[in-house]
Amino acid sequence: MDRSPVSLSVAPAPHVRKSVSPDYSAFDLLIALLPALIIGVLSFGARAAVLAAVGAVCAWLFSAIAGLIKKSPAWSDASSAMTGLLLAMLLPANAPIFIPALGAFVAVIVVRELTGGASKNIFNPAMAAVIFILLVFPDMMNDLPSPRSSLEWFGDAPNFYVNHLSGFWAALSGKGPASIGTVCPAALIAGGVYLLMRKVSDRKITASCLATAFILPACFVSLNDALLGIINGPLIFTVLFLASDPVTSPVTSAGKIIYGVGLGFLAVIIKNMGVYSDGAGFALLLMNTLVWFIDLKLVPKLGRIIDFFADLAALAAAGFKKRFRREVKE
Amino acid sequence: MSEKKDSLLLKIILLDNILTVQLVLMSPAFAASAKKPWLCAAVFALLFLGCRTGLYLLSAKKRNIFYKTADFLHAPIISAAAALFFMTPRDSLVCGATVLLSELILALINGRIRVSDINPALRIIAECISACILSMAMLGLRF
Repeated sequence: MDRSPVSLSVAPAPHVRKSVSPDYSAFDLLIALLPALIIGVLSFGARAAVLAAVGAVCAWLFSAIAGLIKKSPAWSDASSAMTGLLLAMLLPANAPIFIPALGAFVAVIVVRELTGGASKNIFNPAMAAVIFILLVFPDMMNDLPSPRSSLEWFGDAPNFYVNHLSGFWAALSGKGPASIGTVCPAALIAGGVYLLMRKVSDRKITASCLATAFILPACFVSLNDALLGIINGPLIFTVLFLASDPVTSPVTSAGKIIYGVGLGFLAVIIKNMGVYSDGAGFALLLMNTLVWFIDLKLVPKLGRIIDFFADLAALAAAGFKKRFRREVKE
Repeated sequence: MSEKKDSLLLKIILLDNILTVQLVLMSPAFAASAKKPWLCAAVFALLFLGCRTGLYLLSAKKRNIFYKTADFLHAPIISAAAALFFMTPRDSLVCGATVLLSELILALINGRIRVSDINPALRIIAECISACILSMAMLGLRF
């Protein structure tokens, strides 16, 4: 019997199976963030752009310094700059200039480098830094400014929405107080759709999280609240731009669904019952801690059941699509 | 030689646990809602320090299942007792349950850090940071 040793390659996440680099994904992320960033700058003025730039540049600098200390300089690490940009977009536009710099330090040095470095961190660096700033400077973070003027990017909504979902449409176009990046959920959704099409964001995590965040309030509160809940800026931002981070999310198919459901569930519970107005950030950090447990312990036990339902849903979707095409042809 | 090793191990475990878990984990949450935050934090620190030291001194010679279970459960019990001292029975229950949940999650995090190929010298720092971030995330569960 041939007993030649098998060569196994062991490496930490992300396990990418195609020819993309983290910088390439970061470029996609930048394109996806641009609509929300532009609307944020138009709504809050040049200060929003300055905060975003400070966040991105400082994160890149801290990453470069960490690389120098570790003697593995990565001057072209675009993903660090994206971390800085992401956290700056979750800050209010009236934040002092040092806040995104402090956030970048916490995200890159404390959360990422000191817990093992890139691709070994347990928590999402950008969100951990935002929660840190929220707890240290609660007054500043809760004092969200209103946009300069009402944004009417989409003109008048169709009568159906005006009659039934006026609050929904208003929330979607972004008229209330918000942070730089979450002022217009419609722009976030557009960017999120791009990321889903480019397969940078994970469809299973996104769909399961949004479905949970919709179903829970729809069952226990009202349909209108459920609709308003899922287009809540911070939730959309977290789900579409942060939850699918390959380092801090599960790698198994069933694990992704469990992770998404847990994220949506915790976000709704914390938002509706907790003392904080938004629960998505806390929910993301709590779910980050459970990723290892989900992938290695929970999925082997529950994975088959979840896979069965996922296959069933995929079959139903395929059948519906086929029937729809046939009807269109007829 | 064996006693020296035990003593060193004891110190490492003690430092690890004191730094990592409860002091950083729960005192901010309670101190924030107490009338005298400094007193609350001090009582917590003394209780945790005293209980952990006592537990490790007693169980250093005999590391068995009881020791592990006690190690896992004493923090929730002390938290509940301390919360009862400062707040209401309902708060006490919530505190106990929250700390137990934190302990469980922290055990998972520490497990993950240990299985990764992180520099052993940085491991204790990584565990402390994880505990701090977890404590921040747990603050979101204040209802």
